[in-house]
Amino acid sequence: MKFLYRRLQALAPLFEKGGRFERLYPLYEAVVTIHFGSSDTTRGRVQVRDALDTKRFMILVIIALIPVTLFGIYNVGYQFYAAIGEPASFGSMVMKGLTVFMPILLTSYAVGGFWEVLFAVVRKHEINEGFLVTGLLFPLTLPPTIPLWQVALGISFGIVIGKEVFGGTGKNFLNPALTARAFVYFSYPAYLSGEVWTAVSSSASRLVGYTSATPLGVAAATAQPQAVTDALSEAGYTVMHCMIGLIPGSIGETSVLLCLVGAAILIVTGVASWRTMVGSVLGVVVTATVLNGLVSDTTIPFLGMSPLWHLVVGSFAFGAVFMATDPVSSPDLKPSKWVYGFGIGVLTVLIRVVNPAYPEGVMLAILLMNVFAPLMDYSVAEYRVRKRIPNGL
Amino acid sequence: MWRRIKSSQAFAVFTAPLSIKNPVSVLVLGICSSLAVTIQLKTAVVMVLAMTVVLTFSNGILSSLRKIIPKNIRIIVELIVIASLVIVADQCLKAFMFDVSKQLSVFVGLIITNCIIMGRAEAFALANNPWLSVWDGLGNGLGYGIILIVVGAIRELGGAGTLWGISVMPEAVYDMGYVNMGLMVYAPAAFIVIGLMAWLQRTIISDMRKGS
Amino acid sequence: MKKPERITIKKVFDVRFKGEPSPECRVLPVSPRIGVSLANLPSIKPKLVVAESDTVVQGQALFYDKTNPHVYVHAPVSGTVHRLVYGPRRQLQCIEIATNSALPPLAFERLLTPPTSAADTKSALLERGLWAYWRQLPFNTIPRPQDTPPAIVVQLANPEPFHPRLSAVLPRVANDITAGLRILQTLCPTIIVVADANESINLDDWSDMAQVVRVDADFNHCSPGAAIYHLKDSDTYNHAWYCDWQFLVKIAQTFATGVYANQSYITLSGYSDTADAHYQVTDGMDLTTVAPPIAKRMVWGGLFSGIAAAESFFLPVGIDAVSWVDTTETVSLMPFLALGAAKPSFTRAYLGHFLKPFTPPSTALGGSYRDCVSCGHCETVCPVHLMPQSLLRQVNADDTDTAIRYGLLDCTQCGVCTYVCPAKIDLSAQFTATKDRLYNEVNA
Repeated sequence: MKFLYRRLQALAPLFEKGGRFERLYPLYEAVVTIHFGSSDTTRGRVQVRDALDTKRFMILVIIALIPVTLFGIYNVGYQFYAAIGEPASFGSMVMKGLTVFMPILLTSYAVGGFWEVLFAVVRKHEINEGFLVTGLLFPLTLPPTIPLWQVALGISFGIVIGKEVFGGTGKNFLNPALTARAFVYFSYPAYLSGEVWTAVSSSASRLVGYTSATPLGVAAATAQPQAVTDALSEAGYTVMHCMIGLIPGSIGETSVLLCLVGAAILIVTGVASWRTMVGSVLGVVVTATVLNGLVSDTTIPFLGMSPLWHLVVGSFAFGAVFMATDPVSSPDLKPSKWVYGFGIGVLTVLIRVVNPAYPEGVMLAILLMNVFAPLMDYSVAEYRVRKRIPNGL
Repeated sequence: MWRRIKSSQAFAVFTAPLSIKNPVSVLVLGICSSLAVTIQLKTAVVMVLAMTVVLTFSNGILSSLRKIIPKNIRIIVELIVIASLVIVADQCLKAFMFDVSKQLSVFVGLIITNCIIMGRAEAFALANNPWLSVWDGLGNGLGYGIILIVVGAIRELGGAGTLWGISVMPEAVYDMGYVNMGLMVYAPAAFIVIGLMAWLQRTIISDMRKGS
Repeated sequence: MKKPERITIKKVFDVRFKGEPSPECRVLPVSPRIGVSLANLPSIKPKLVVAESDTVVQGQALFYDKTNPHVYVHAPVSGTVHRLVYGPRRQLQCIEIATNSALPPLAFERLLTPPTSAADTKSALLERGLWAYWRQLPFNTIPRPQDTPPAIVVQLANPEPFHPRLSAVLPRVANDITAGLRILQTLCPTIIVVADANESINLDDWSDMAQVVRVDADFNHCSPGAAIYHLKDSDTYNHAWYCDWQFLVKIAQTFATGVYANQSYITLSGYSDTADAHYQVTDGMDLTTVAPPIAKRMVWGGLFSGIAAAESFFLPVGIDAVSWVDTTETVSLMPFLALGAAKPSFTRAYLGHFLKPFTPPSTALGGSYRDCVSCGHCETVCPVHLMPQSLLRQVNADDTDTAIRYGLLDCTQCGVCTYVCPAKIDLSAQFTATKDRLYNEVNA
């Protein structure tokens, strides 16, 4: 290991100022620091520094995402064999899932990485590890049937327009993974309208174009006088089903239980804010309860969906745990995190129930609240500043 | 001859808005209509024509009146001139290109409020002679036009696979799984495309400045 | 001014470092050569009154501050001016004196009772060359003698790691601190004595002479700036003066004996198990006599606000702790995947947060420089309730007015925000630079 490190160090002059590959320095720096960490020492008056760095920060998010990713891979295979009605072993389900998910993931990483490196080289800054998270989050929000070229376009949009235009990780005000998804969502609505998820189909399989409705699709399509809960149980969904997540849906979003595991990892390690998560759950519960009170014979049945159902269906859990808590695009200050989370919960339910065009509202809710995050921070900061005893010149 | 044209003041006034002083991508004026009429190439072109005609004439007329317009009511005078020209343009469109006119709906009428027209009148026409003002109006109209036409082309090609209503995407591409980009039909797409063009142009301009 | 007996600063910062110096206090003889280093004299523009190879005696003036012409710095020992060391742009850095203990020290008038008026005390302090130990908030500069302090904060503890503990030397200095407080009483009625609540010292003797406050907080959080922030009830106290207990000892001894007091208490840490202890030394002593250079970074002052000493080994004026920090590079594969049981961390991202290991401090940056990711850690540790991330944005945008409104001048420059930042942004340095620039603008 030491040997490898010395070899890498020996290459340094090639990439440093005046070297032959001076322009590729960000790439070199990324390779060295990914493998061996930074060998920089402190400058200035603070002689010691905390061991935490942004790499650790981002890696912890990825670790928290591993359970949902693995489950997502399995679920893709499970749904495939359920759709074609063949019994299959655990191994073949995982294999099927891998053959579907890995190309999506690799496309996302390759294209996203290309942009990240390009901007780092042109702008002469280090490659930011934030794209490792973006590149994984984005595929997890996509349906397994997504064409790869759409993945590539989506991640390009997310990285370039959602982040690099503003100066890279740390300066973006929107969550890049969600920006990417929003792009695909509005550009190619047929592929992820949220109403119907096409189970995996390929021309080789016997069954092409098999579709099955997600719980949200069922809920949105319910008509009077049927109640939403009845429609859902008729379609074979129970709360337990949705908790465990062996249901059709986007690759990583289906299992609420594993999202909770991810949430636990993020909260214990202090990477994500529990205030945002709790706030958004409160927002959903309050809004859904209020809407439940408005139900009458003339309203759409979706209005009567209970708060519990709202929490377990769709990608609310995934969004609230992994997307809303992105530290860069969420507000900085603790009180504004509560408001931000609450707003996400409220908007999620409202978009789901009130706007018939969008059965799922988490993505739009988070993006919308992202936009308001700086305003919330500003208000809280001004409020706090007013309470300070002034210290002027 | 060419050298004489090139060194003339009118040439400079005409070419500046086409590149380094582009009203849309550099000065960020006239954005509203750029968002609204660029879903198709055809509407964009017609809009550009209407706009250029109005801008050229308004600049010319206002410039020749500049010495007799009282300072304190100049905005009203400008508006009267521009509004008359817009009405003429609108009526011409209705008479000769009714379909397109319907697609453009209120946006021709709204040329009155286009910041570029008032902006050029205030900033240029009232301070320069009619000859230069006409060239300035023409240049700004075409500078606006370049952006609109490019944006219109990109949006029509991306959103519908057509150009000027003619399908240009080969059927084979669709067979391979290509789908039209729905986002391009929404107004935000124009925002993003214009934003990207502004970014590109500013990068080029700043590179040019660094180079020179 | 609020009158609590104890303030608890709730913001937590509890990283522990190995290498606490032993409480044993050793006395070191004067070194053959001493140096008056200006490394810790902020904002002083020195004008020399001695030249190379002049003979000076203990207590004789060496230079004064051009912006404050009455503020002199005096020679701690008698001897010959051996060398004047200049830094870049011909800035005076150090005056080296070859010690000659045969020469008698300069004799001042002995003041066995404190002066009766503030003016007398001031002129006595100025005459004896003790003024340069004063500091004033918010810029941590030397106050002007003609000003009247709104309050004086006396620091009995510097809770940064490895600083001298008053409890280690209390029997030797208790009477001097009492006498020093008597002298300060003539300057200002509001005297606040700030002690570390975790240190067991009997403060009863002083509680009727001054407002004694125990601060329950970690590390640098009971600095004078933080104490004033938590105690002030109006903005008149923003420009309070402060000093530490060593200053009280110095003025008490000088006033009582008529001889310029040249002894200080310092700690050495991180050097070796045997050398890490408290020491009573002569000001400006040559540290190589007790600690020859080793392959570690030598730091004047605390780990969080210290100065990396480059070549000079003379103890600078006003520095009471010297630390040696490990600079060895540790190579490990994918360090960000480690559980980190041995990594001291403020954040829960490493196991070290829960296990609280005692690890020796290291200069490792522990990551690479990045843009702010708005993690909010700096806000959780700031002792004066600033929002460092918002403040940094204002500072970066050059919006000084808003920065001041957001509390820039309350910043105690403790360096803890810089310590915790995962993007390795030196927030403290940026705030300090902005404050320095403001100070220069105001005093231009």
